[in-house]
Amino acid sequence: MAQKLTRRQFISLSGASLAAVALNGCSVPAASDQTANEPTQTSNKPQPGGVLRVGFADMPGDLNPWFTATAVDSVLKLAIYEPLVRYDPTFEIEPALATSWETSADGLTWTFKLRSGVTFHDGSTFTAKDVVYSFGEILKPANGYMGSKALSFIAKVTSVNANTVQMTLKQPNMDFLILLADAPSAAFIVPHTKTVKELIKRPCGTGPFKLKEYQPSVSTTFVRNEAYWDQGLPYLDELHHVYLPETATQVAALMSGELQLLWQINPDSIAVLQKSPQVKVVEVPGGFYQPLLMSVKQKPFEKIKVRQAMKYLVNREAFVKAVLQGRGQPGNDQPVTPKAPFWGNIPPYPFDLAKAKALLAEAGYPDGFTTTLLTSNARPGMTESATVFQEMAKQAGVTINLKQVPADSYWKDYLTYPMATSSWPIYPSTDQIFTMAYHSTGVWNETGLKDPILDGLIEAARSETSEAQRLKTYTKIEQLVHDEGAVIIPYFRSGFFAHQAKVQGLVYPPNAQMRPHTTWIKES
Amino acid sequence: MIFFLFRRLMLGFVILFLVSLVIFGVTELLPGDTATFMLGQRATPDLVTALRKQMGLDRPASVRYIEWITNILQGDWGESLLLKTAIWPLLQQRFENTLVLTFLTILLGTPLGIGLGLLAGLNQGRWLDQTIIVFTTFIISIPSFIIAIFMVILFSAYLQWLPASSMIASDASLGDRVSRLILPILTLLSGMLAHLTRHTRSSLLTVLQADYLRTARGKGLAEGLVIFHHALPNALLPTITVVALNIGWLIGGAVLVETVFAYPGLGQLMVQALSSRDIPLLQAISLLTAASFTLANLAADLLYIVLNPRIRYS
Repeated sequence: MAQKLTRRQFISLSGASLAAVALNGCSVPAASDQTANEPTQTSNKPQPGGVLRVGFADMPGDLNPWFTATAVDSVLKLAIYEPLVRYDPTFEIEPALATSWETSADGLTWTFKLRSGVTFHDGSTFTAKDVVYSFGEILKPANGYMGSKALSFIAKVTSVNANTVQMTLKQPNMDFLILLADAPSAAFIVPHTKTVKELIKRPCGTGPFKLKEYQPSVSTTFVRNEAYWDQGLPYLDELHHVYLPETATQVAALMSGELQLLWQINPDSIAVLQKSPQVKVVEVPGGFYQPLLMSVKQKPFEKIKVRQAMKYLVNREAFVKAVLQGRGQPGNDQPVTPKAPFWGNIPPYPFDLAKAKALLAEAGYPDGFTTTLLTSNARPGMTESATVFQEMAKQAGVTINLKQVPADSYWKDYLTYPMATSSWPIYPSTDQIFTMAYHSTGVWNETGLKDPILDGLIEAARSETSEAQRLKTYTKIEQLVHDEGAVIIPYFRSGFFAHQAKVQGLVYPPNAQMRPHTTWIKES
Repeated sequence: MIFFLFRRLMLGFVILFLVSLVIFGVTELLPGDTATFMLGQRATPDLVTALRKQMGLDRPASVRYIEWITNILQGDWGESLLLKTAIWPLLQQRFENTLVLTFLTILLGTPLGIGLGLLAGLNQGRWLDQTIIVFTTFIISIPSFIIAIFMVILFSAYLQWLPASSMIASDASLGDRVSRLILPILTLLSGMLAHLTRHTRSSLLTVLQADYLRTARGKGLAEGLVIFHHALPNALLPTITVVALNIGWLIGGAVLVETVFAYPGLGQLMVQALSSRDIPLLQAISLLTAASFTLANLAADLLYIVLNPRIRYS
């Protein structure tokens, strides 16, 4: 219930009516809906101590606190560093380094009260100075941090006194707190006495774990932060991240108990892992989707009817079966997943060959056309998805030539092709995904679609204070992207995790950005 | 002799220089650089530009190469682009690990390979010979990463005798270290054994037909003395080269094995350096590997001279 209160506080602070809160309950998945999260066993009191070894298929890059290009980077940095606020698995805001906040009537000035008695891993005390310093670095464009994009609407960060900071925004943004909490923004607070260079060598945050050793491409070892501000947390004495690119090794290591948790497993391994009695496989729905992009800058996708015809050619159930082995949900050609805030539940285009053919004829392609679809195994599932779509398109005479390129050079110019595959995680900020990837000025606008009506709606939803009104506007946006957009989103993928049964207290946000502070190991 | 050594060392430097040039050139030709790798799918032109500028990647390739080679000649290995840390300490640690793996494999593999080769050669045509040949041919026909995966599944997942990964904590106990080395060593052995066995066997067979052995037997020497005193020293000479080649291969080429077992060696670091286009790191690893290869070969040649008085280099 505490989570609900937090959101209520947040909404009432931002001037929304109480009616909005009630309605809001429908738009955000309730905690009980999170079937993936294990029920907290009240009879099970967390036992402090123990070591948790987590296996990852990808590797992090450097230890710069503000650089989190991949989810593995984020998970590493979330163990060491903390933002001002954080979110729970349903994306409800919780206090972290800030204990409370209020906003001015125009939504442009935010005042944060900071938690007192917090110390950094080097023993120094956390104050407003550190917040001002950290944001100065994060927002500096020359540093090239993702945060300078995600939080570009912050104009100024000043300290009012040692325990209060004030942030001035260029324009109101109702997702401000979510973006502050989101690990990809990496709005982490570091001591103002440390330069980035020093932090890369010896990370120093306020988080539940301190870095003990980083062996690039091999492993990262963390030890418990004895001075963590959240009393009694974390439970684990040590946390190890182990980077194992080979699936067979990962699976063997979990089954033999050498690792206790696999972060994001390949669905192919599920069957094997389920045979082991000590292993539990967890499905976290709605975490990812893999759009098939149609570039509106290239023929014939500049025509809405062609794009719609392509959407009618998609047999979504078949996609879920073939690409996801049944583990996922049909997608509806817009990027807000059922687990994201403001999911409008718009019914997807049905598979309708006659309609697709008719639309193609109307657009001037009665006999179909030939195009190229670029793909790669840069993300699991993309190549499979491309192959399935190639088959489906054949029915309407559309010939798709698949072009496959190596994973490490895929993202460099995938947008120069008429069609390409992409892969996205769920975005906790619905504004962010639309602003960055669907607004005509969006930096990740993958299809090049420019629609002034869509732009207007996205901007309106961003500063709308009523949650109910926001849901309405976002539903409209989702409908518009679904109807006329240039992405085919055939499915929403689940994320999969596997752990030894003795590992307890794991919390799975749909975007896989797990925080280790409540995890513990039950020794029988 | 001194002159020979000097010439070979000079030649080694020329080879290293060429290696560095080729590695640099090839990575320049690959699409993408560290900035695009770091940002991945979320790259935007201005973020890429900012990162390139920070890493000095906005300067022309020739300038970067000259800067790198000037630094390296002064003993400065530079910083990794991706990891933003000094390369040398990282390299040192990984090189040590790779050397441990290499020498344990050589230490176990050499007597085993030679022993099997001798057994096969002395029993030419009999069932023991056939078994050894079929077995080693079978093993070398399977790619090493398949052997590795097979062993992981068998020994770690099902039997649970040995750890699947070889990541070694810096404070690991000796027992832990040893148990983590067994699977990688077995995999590497499988690749090296067949070579060595067949080489030893055929070279023994050649020697056994030599005239001087007939003479030795003719003058009434015991068969054991003939084999161990006359045949073996000559039969083993070519295997020195095979072992030296294996050292080079193990140091630079154990990439797959290191990746499968997540063994913290050079090969595994090389994979990350290559995929992230971390040229300074990649260059450093290649140089170290090439240098080891060259030195191992030089050592083999020197050993050759010592063991075979007929060969004299001028």
